[in-house]
Amino acid sequence: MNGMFVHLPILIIMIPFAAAFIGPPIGFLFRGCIRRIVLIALSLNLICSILLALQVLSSGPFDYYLSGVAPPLGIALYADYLGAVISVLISGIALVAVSYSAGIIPELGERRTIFFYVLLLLAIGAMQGIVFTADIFTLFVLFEIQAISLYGLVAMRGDGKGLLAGYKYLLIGSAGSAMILIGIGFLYISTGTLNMHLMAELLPPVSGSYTVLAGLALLIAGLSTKIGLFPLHIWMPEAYAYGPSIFPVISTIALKVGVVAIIRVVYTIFGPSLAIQTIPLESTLALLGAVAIIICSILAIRQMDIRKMFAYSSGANIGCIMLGLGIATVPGIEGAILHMITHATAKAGLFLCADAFLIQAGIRYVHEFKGLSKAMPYTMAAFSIAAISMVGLPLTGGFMSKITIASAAIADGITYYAAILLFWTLLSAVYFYRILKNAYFQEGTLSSTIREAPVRVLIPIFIISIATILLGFFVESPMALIRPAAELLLGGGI
Amino acid sequence: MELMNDDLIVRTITRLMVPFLLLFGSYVLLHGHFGAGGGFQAGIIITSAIIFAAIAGNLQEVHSILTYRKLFVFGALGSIGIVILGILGIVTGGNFFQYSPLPLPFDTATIHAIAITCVEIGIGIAVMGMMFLIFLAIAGGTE
Repeated sequence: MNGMFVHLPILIIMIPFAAAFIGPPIGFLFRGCIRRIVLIALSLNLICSILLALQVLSSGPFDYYLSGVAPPLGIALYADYLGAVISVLISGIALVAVSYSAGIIPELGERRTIFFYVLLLLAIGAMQGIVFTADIFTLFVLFEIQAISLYGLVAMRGDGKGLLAGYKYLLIGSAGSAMILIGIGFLYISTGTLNMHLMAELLPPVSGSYTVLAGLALLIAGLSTKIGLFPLHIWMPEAYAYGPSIFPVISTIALKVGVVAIIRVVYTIFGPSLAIQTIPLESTLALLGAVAIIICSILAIRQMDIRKMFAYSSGANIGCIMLGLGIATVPGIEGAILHMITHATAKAGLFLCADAFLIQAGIRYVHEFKGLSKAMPYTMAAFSIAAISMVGLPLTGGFMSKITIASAAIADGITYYAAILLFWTLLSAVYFYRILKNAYFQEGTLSSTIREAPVRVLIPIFIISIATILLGFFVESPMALIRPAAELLLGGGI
Repeated sequence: MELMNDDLIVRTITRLMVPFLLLFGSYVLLHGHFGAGGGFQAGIIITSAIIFAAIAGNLQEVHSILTYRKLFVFGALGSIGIVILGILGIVTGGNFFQYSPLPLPFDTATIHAIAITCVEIGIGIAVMGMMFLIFLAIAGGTE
């Protein structure tokens, strides 16, 4: 391995952090310049992520030891296929989201915009760290950095509803963090190490003890609050509805990072054989996922506020990812990782369009969409493409990932989960059809002052839409990384 | 904000305590690389000395000297220092935060002690800026 490539994992983590520290001094000195710093940092980050993905693809996963000290004494980063592909996803979506948002976000004002971007960069840096770390305590610390930044982002608008949503998120998230910390403590007591790979080697002899089982249960429960798995999703609707403009997009990738942490706990630390022996993984994770899919979809149909509706839809999609992970075969995990990518892309498109509707026309409820396709045709077209991918119709990314998970369920002999996925497609078609029907087939009562969004805003939205469609056609290029990732997770471990 | 800035007891105790707190903070800061202590604790202790002086003195005057903006930049500068020290490790040919290849005319242990102390100072600056910012935000005032 040559030159700077070995340092890529730490550079990917440190670029957003360094930009977050440089941001305030320069942002206070020069007005409106903070967004340029964020754009430069995230572009560098995307370049580094892509280079790392190519590097991992050509010469396999590698370790990076901070301060040059190897585990068990030192802290290690582990750049594997899963980390590389999710890292590209994080930097890509974040870059598009920031290039969508304005230099001074109107609802925040100049001074709060600086804090908004600083918190955003801290959250992105922490996410990049979570996907690469091989040390479970570093995982916890980075989760705290990410979570505290996100609490601040939710409450950033400072009005009553935003503060309440942030406070709710803070309460649930802190309970989750405490559970994660106690779970890590239990695993540390049992094995005496914090490195994930060493822990995986030391766990089998003690895996029957209640300490280890309680540690696993606490870790899964704590991480479930971070990803908003069904009973713990209650912070999501309000945070998404009342957070500032591009917060939901950042939160969408934060959910995926939480899923990566669950994959690390279940498949890297415990390993598939141990996890299935000690806990009934198939029936637990997959059942939780299936329940989340059905209930969150029904809740989404009841919502009239589109941002709350998308929040419940995110809950259902997280359920779908957990269902894929619970199947615990190579196609199941491939489908889950692919669904993380397709869902993050489509959901980012939906939220960017929803924000454009809110800014241009003040629209946030389903019944207000009547006749909007004439006033904002381009934004509405991008919205429709993202919605089609969310429903899972062919020729979009969403179809590819859903069909992978469904066929994995059928191949594993649990056809009722495939039936649930089909039923879910119907349910999500119902709630997206309401919006599309209003926008395209109903005569509007909209005022004639509504204009199409400016080009600066349309370009990022179109980039996301094109990515959504391309994922449906060129699904093989992410699969080149996802396939070895799934095989490594199932063949690795113990 | 009416604090007891003309109270004889508060002023006398402050005059006695602040030098000791500053000295103890510096000791904890410089002791961090081979024992209990370090940048975070030292930052807290030194900040508590400054908060003590601010309570005994005039809070409005403190506010006019140390604005939110200055403190925010102060804290950010400490963090930037830490990142630069980490990247020095990469530039000199080691890993992130690896000090042994730093081109200094000492043995490895001394280089480690110097570099760790520099990191601790960076942490101390960041903690001081942020802690005093939190104090000012709670104590109220104008921005």
